[in-house]
Amino acid sequence: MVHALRRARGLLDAGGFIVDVHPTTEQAHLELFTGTDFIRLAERIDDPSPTGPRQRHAAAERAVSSCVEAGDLRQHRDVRFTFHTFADSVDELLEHLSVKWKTLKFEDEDVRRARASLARAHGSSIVVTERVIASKLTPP
Amino acid sequence: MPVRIDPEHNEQFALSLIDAGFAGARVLEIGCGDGRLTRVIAKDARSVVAIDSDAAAVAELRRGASRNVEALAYEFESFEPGPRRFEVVVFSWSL
Repeated sequence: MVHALRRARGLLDAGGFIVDVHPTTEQAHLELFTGTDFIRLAERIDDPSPTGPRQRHAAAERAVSSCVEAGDLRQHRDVRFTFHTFADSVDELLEHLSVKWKTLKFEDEDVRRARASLARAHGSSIVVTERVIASKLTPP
Repeated sequence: MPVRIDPEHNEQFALSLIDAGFAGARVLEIGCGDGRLTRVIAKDARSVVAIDSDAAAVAELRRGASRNVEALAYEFESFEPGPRRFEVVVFSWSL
């Protein structure tokens, strides 16, 4: 990842900059959105392997820090934000995840609980929530 | 209603907060996927070279891309831009 950042820096014109957007190490989770409130239902299934999402996101953060500390890049600004994916049914959401977000999985029991919560709360949505960081990096 | 991804546009707002302006810029986007963020960038950029190792996603992006987007199926490591240089390089959830 450090290599990728350094290579990206080498592809910049004078005055250019790098934008990095990646999830934080906070686990993505499942929520019920009632129209006014988000109610947390479950965490994603954690994958503790070195290639698991949290480990990759932590490595991305370390790579940015390493490049800044080494003087390869300057961190101009960064912002953390919440990224939502909304669906009107659990099946619709699971189908979407199976195609677009294959590493995101929830326990069967949590999925059952989500279905039940959604059935009880007419007009609500089911939501995957993720915390993300966006950074602007410039050559020093 | 279909699945709605970031309907509040929090990602775009965050990009504006970090002063990530794409207006008139030549942009390289790494990890474009099916082009969710590419389309946002391309509205303002002069040109976008969008790469991703997922050939199917790149094909999906090509079908709906604006004329200033060049979508290519490449890993960043094997991408050779030749003499081209960019005003902005974006890692789209890909670092």
